[in-house]
Amino acid sequence: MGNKENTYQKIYDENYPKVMRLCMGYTGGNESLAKDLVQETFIKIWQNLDQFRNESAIGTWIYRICVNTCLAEIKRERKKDRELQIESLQVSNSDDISVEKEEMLIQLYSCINSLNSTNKAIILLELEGLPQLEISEIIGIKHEAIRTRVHRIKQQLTKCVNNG
Amino acid sequence: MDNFKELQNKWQNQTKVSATEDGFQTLLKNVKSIENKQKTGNIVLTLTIIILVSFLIYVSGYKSATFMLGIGLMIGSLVIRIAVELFSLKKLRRINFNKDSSTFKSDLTNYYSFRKYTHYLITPIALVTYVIGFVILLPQFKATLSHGFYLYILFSAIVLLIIFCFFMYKQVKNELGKLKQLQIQD
Repeated sequence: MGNKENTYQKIYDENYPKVMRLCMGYTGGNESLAKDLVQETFIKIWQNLDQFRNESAIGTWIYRICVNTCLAEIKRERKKDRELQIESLQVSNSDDISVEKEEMLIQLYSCINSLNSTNKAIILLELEGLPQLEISEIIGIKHEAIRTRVHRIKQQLTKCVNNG
Repeated sequence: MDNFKELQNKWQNQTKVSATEDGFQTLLKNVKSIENKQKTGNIVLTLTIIILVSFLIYVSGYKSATFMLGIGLMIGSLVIRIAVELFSLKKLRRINFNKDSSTFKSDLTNYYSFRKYTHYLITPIALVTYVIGFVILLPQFKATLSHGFYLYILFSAIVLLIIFCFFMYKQVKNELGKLKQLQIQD
């Protein structure tokens, strides 16, 4: 394997879980759509790898490409797909704690899905534990504005999950 | 905001999905295949334009002005439509995924707004011009071809037109849907 391919594999191995979580959040927990978005994100990473100049951390750069890919590729999820997804989650877990955890995640996915695309990206990055300065660099909104917005979305999301 | 901390904790500890060697190899294969497809696509489009223009030059010696007008309208509308598609593709590929998401969103919105003009203006004009060209040629086909072959050309053209319109409708619906979603105010 060439040098570019080695670097690419390292990026893939280290970042796959977080890219997958972000895409799952973007698709409202639809695993099949999320996998397509993950694939598309890593294809974009390969195509833009030569342009990466270490001006930002590689993690920030990857999140930026991932958020933009989700924004560009997002398709309206069909109701049928969503029902199938929820059904498979419920059947696949037999123990109660797992079921409860999955139900909470389904509720969380559903609440995130009700947000507009920018707020969705902001809260997913916040859920990932990214510093707000980094979120503002990824989204392209001033740090102060991000702080206010994160506070508002957090309240909205917590309320939605608790009332669900 | 303790409740949010709890949500954050659940989010970060949801069932782990790890990268696999097979997954990476499949990805690498797809990356290479996309690069090859882009090269093949460019070759096919260039060849199509060369063949169409060569055909036009070849038939330009034909004395019938009606024939020349019909074939000229058909080929001209096709060439213009292909050129617009190539220009769109170039514009789309130029959109930089490295930019922050607000700039990216604005670039993408501009692209789909441009596509709206293509779909609502250029495509219908090209389609109508193509059909006019074909209709102009029909009497010539009828006079020079056997009745069976004439009917075959006529009906296959209608079927192809319906199929083309169906795919265009799906494409337009998809792109306008994306534009609508992008324009939803934050």
